[in-house]
Amino acid sequence: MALIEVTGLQKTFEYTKKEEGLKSSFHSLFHREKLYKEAVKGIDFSLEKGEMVGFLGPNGAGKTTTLKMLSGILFPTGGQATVMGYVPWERKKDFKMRFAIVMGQKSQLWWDLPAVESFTLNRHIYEIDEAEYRKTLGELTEILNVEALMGVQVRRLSLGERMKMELIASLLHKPEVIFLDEPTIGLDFISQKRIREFLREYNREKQTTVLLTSHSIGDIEDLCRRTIIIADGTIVYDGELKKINSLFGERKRIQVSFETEEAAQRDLSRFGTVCSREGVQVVLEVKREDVREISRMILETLPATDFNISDIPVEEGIARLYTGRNSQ
Amino acid sequence: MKKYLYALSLGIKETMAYRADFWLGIASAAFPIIIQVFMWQALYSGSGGGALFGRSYAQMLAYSVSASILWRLLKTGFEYEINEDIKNGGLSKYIVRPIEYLPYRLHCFLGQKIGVLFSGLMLMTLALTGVGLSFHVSPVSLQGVLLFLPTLLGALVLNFLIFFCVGMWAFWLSEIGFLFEAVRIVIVVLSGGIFPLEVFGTAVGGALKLLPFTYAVGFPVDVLTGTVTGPAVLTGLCFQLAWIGLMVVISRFLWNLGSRKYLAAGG
Repeated sequence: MALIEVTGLQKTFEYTKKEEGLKSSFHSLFHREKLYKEAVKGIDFSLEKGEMVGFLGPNGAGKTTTLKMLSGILFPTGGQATVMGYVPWERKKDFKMRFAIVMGQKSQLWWDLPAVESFTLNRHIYEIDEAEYRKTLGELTEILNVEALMGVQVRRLSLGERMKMELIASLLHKPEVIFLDEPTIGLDFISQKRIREFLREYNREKQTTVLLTSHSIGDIEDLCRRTIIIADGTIVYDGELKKINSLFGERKRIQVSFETEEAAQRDLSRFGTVCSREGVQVVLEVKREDVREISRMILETLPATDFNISDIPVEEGIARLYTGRNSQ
Repeated sequence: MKKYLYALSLGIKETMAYRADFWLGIASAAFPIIIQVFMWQALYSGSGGGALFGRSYAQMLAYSVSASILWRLLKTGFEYEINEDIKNGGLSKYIVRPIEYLPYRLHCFLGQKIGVLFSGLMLMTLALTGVGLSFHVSPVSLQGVLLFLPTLLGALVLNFLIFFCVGMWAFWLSEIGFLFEAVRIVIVVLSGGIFPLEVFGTAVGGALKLLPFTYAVGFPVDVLTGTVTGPAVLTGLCFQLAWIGLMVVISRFLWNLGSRKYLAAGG
């Protein structure tokens, strides 16, 4: 059995419609129209031990909702899930001792206390042996380079510093499963890179199973061999990120530069789909098997000064999945 | 459990940081107490100096002063934090950790109260000594003080549970801040935090003694000032304990029901 098993998981939120204006506010005191939003519409996937899987999707696609169900914060409306054999929303103590969730947008530290107090509280909460705690804390603070900040009140830390503290707080009890919800959100390039490096090393060394959401394709490309993409509550892709474009047929891009803008304006539709035309530069999309033939034709018949063949960028494939344009 | 003891120590640390807040709260008790002194003076002079509602003027003042201070001493504030946790998703960090929310909050609360209890009780002693000196009576007996201590502990826990339940409403209601104050005003009256329940008459007063609120303020004060003595103390303690037990059950029920509805907003 896989370490994380999700079958037919669903979450529908109920909310009341509120219209603008005093009159409708008054009206809503007596009558409220109930609306339903299906945030997660029956998803299936599984993770094996030690896997580090990216969980991508546009805003509101259901990523965070899924992670919250897998960590027992939310009760699902339907379907099943097990994490290390536990049903998360039963909120068993044994389960809580063995996993962690890190939320980039929601601090789990105590804001008025220095980080080290939050860590001590976590030590007691997770019943970690003092010597063990010292050792783990020493290692983590050294790798993340935050020894000097331990006594600073959390609310005074910068976003990047705080994120490192969040990571430490959730790793003290050596969880076997970690859910990371946008751990690099709002961080600068260098901090992002450091956190990524840390996560990669940590996963490699401890064989922790990680499910990671992020809007930074870089995070996912860097860390995860496998990516699950969710859009509008349904899983639209599960596989290697690099192979995402095979979904849209095997296509290639040809970028051609001309001497003059007039030359670039001519009709090129007989060669392939024109994706963009900017100044003297035109980008065409063609079938992979036709690349050789079309390149030859372009070079022979057109006054091209520069020529470049490339794959369709992963981001575009993802964007197509997000908007539901699965086929061209 | 060590984790909850640590929460207790966090509570104590917090009070140390917010001491001024507590003293301002106590100072704000002075004004209503002065009003009450004048009010009771008027009422008692009208009665020709006899007992009213089964209490002498000195006893009534001893009650009012003690109840005012005790009410402020036991005053909660964590229901706003609970509301905040529920509304803004701060509750998630407790749900995913192997710690239970109710005992955690209880220990934080007890910790905060330990920080102010000593000074509060000193103040109460001072005020009662003042009443005693003015009327040449001793408003408090040693027995009363000794019996008061367990009822005080019970009152602390009961007060916590009542407001924990009130805080749980945040799972269902979206704008709740004003409600806490409204509930607090009703509860302070029903608990005998302003005047003894006998003022409502025998029937209503008696009925109110079946509710939990009086065991959070009025009953301990009555034990302290010697209005309730002998077997009645034991009966009261049993009621207090029974209400604590029942409120634990209600709190757990509300928590289980509410935390299923919890939306974990933000992030």
